[in-house]
Amino acid sequence: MKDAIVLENANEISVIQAEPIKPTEKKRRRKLPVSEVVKLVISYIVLILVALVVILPVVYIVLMAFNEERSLYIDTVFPTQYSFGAFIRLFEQTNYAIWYGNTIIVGAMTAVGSVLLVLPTAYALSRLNFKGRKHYLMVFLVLQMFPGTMAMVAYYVLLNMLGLLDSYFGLVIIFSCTAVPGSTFMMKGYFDTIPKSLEEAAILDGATRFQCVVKIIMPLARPMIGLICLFGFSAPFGDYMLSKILITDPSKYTLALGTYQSIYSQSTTDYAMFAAASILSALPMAIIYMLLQKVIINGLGGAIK
Amino acid sequence: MRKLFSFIKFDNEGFTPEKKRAALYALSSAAFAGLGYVLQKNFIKGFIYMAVELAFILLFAFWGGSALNGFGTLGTVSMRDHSLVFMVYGILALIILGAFVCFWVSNILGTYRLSIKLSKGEEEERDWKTALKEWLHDRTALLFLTPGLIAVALGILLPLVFSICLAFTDYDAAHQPPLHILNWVGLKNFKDLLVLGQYAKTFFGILGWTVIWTICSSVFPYALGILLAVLLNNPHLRCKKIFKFIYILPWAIPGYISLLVLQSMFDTGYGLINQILDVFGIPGVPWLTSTTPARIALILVSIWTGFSFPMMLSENIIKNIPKEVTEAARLDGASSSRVFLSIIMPYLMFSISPIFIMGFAGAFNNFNTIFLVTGGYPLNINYQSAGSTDILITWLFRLTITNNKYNYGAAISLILFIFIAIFSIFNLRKTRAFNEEISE
Repeated sequence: MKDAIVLENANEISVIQAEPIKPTEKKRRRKLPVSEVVKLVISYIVLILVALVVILPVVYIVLMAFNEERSLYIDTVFPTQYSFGAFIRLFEQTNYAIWYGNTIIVGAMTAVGSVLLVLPTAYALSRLNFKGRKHYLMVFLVLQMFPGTMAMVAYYVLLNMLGLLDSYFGLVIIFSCTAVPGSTFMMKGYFDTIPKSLEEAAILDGATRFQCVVKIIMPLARPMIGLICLFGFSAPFGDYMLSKILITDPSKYTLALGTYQSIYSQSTTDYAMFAAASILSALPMAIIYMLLQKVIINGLGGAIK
Repeated sequence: MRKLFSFIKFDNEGFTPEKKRAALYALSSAAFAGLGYVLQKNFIKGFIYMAVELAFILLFAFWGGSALNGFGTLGTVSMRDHSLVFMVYGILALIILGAFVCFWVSNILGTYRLSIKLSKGEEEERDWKTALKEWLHDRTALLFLTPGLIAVALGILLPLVFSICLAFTDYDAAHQPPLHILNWVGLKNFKDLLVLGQYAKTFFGILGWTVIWTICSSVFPYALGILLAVLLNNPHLRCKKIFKFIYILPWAIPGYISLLVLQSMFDTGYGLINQILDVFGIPGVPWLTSTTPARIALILVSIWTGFSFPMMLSENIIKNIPKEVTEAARLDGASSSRVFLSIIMPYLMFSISPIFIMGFAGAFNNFNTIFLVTGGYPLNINYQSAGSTDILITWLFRLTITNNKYNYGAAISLILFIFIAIFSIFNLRKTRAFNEEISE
């Protein structure tokens, strides 16, 4: 009987909580029923445990990077002496800066290329009526799941024929083309949320479809365009396999390739340098993704809504 | 067939003289693209179409014909003919041929429609400027689609078809063009892989682990992600921002870096994980060098790298559930677990399922995790050039790059592609969210 009353109270409380009543917050916390408290404690335990597991490798790699000791085979995780030696070695002994530059160049070109390809395609799929529109979407969905590894020989042969092996353009072409289906889907989802009445009015005033895209759609879709740019930009940061097949010249290496081929391979002797490289490679991307997480999740959500 | 020719409407009117004339014009357009337009004095369109047909004929007279022929023979003289180049040109010629057939059919249909319109007096005379403008307007969709279509055709379709073709040749370490001419061998590679001794054993062994891996490395991260999102949804919880910040880290850090770092942590001798186990007095586990621990390590790594995204997604979805719905349920006396099971969970599942299916296909092809963490090792002596943690995609990589068995690699990628395509279409068709998306 008593339990039932407590539960009823719990329901009332949770209804009240929906409204932000700050001053009474402390009072209400004290009134929490036992079942809620138990739930909360279990939640905290799970959340903290997961958080510890997640944070462990991050802390570990930061500690290792600033460790005076070079090797992975050390006695204590916490360094006895901190130093920037690893970062200095990274720039003195390897082409890290060049690889970084390469990756940024390829990423920037991929960002531009994929937006140019995706924008008109997504617009047509969202706004224009043509035969087989449904089939296009289906084909795109299937193509999106087709991983580059399957066609690596084809990419090698094709780029070899075009003389684009060991060049930025080869990578840019492949990254941009393979981004088309997936990004088009996201972009189309976003366009669908923009009211059609804007363009209809403009077309009645004599605007062409092209003008509609440039003057109305593009400014409104700026967040999504930014997102496609970001995905294009991060493609070379995340890809190892295609770059490995298509790039053999060490001065043309991308970051992932260089880190794996030249730095990780000697991590048994100089783990600190690998740790330093990891931090420098991950930091900018991680910051961008952290800052834009809301936009990214909403964008991806738009594709499925 | 009936549908194809439905433009010649066999309706009650019968075969009127207008339709007869229209059909004749259509026939002339079939003989030479654009002819029907010129005969009906629609010169601009007519001449453009004729120019396209002429260009196509010239292209095929000087290049396409021999390209198609070369595709059949794959070359005759070694060192002079490069079979792979022949193959690429052949596929290109086929794609162009396909595009031309589409153009040709649409030109016939267009001629017919124009004639009917003219005879009904619907089409008035216009100067070429407005005509061009209207033509462009009719073709806007095509114009907008062209860049994307070309990119998909050359960047995805051509390589894909090329890989499929390789699966039917004898392209391996012993037959490398241009030194050797490749031959079409039919289904031999598939027979070797699926039926014959060593390779078949390897294939099915790897397939089994691939299935386990795919299920574990997609279901576990999603389960954890959803669980965390639900826990974070508790209004009494403090420090939500800090938790979220930490949970998003694995998603924000580039994949290959977290994979390499985790790999070094699983090192048997001095990796952090064995060091921690040592503190608790547990003997070190030979992660990465022994089959079962290596597989467990891979799944743990996939959970670490993969749970953030589903968590963010579910959190977003739960936040977007209309407050009125849950509150109405609560006012009606539903307990919070009841609200969760009957409202939040179904809503979440409905919204997240399409992305989960894509994640499933992604896990099936998760090259990076396997390659960077275990590299497919430890080697399995019962397998043909494969390790115990190899999945199909990494085995295909090894066969291609290390063993130069290009034909087997291509055959595996074709099998993979069929798996993924069937699976995704089947599933996506069933998801309501996708159907709504497509039919709106």
